[in-house]
Amino acid sequence: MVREQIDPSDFTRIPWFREVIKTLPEEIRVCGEHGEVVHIEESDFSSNPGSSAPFGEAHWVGCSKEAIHRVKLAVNKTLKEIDRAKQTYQLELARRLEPNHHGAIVAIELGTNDYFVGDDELDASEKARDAGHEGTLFFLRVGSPYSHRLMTPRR
Amino acid sequence: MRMNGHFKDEEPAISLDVGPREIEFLVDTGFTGGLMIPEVLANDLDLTYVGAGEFQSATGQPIPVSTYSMEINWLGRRMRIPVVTSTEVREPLLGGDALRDCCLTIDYALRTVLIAGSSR
Repeated sequence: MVREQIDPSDFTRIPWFREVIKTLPEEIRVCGEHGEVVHIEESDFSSNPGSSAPFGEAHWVGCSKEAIHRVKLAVNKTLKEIDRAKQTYQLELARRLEPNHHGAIVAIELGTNDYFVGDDELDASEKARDAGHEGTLFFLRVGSPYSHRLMTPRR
Repeated sequence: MRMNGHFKDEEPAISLDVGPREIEFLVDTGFTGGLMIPEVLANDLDLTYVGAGEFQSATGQPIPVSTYSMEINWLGRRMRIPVVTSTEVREPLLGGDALRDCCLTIDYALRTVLIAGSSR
């Protein structure tokens, strides 16, 4: 297997990398030649260097450099689209939606930034699909930079 | 219709039929979503991907999540609800969105948990 080091400045983004990898088409995240899924492995848990992560090293792991490169490109593209969706909410949608839809869920289609408001994620996504939008959706709660809060500290 | 929960250690919990098996969820009104399932427990469930989102943790850290739809038995009805999974959580949680049209009664003295339809 080929291993490609992840820069420590990207350690806090690893949870996002993993979430996005799951959503990629099989022909991107799985090597067509060897059938291995490109994934991320953390190591060096004993020598936490004091960063924001409980590990000292992390690597992209795949059966070839090309397979890793293909997944990294797709992940970065999706993360940029998510950043743009967040920006669209802050710059345009917040003032449009917050007066009348505070607390509702808004589904923003990545790429087009078209949006649909619903009572929850299923309601908002059904409205998007009914309107013919088939792209990946990113959810936010109107009036919040997040979709939900988890206020009880968990182990 | 009503559903009885129980206490798991010192916290209210309820077991829900999620298809291939039951999962025990902690009842956590500090969580504003519906159901949250650690990814390691979600692999064999019949989930339909809906989209991505981001939660705010108790410490203020963002937690990326994937949102799915899933059918469960809820107060005597089979219904489809949003479920999020994440590699960053360890326990299944049932939050405020799942209880939106319900009355939740937790009796700490008797150690009973009851979810019922609201009388409104």
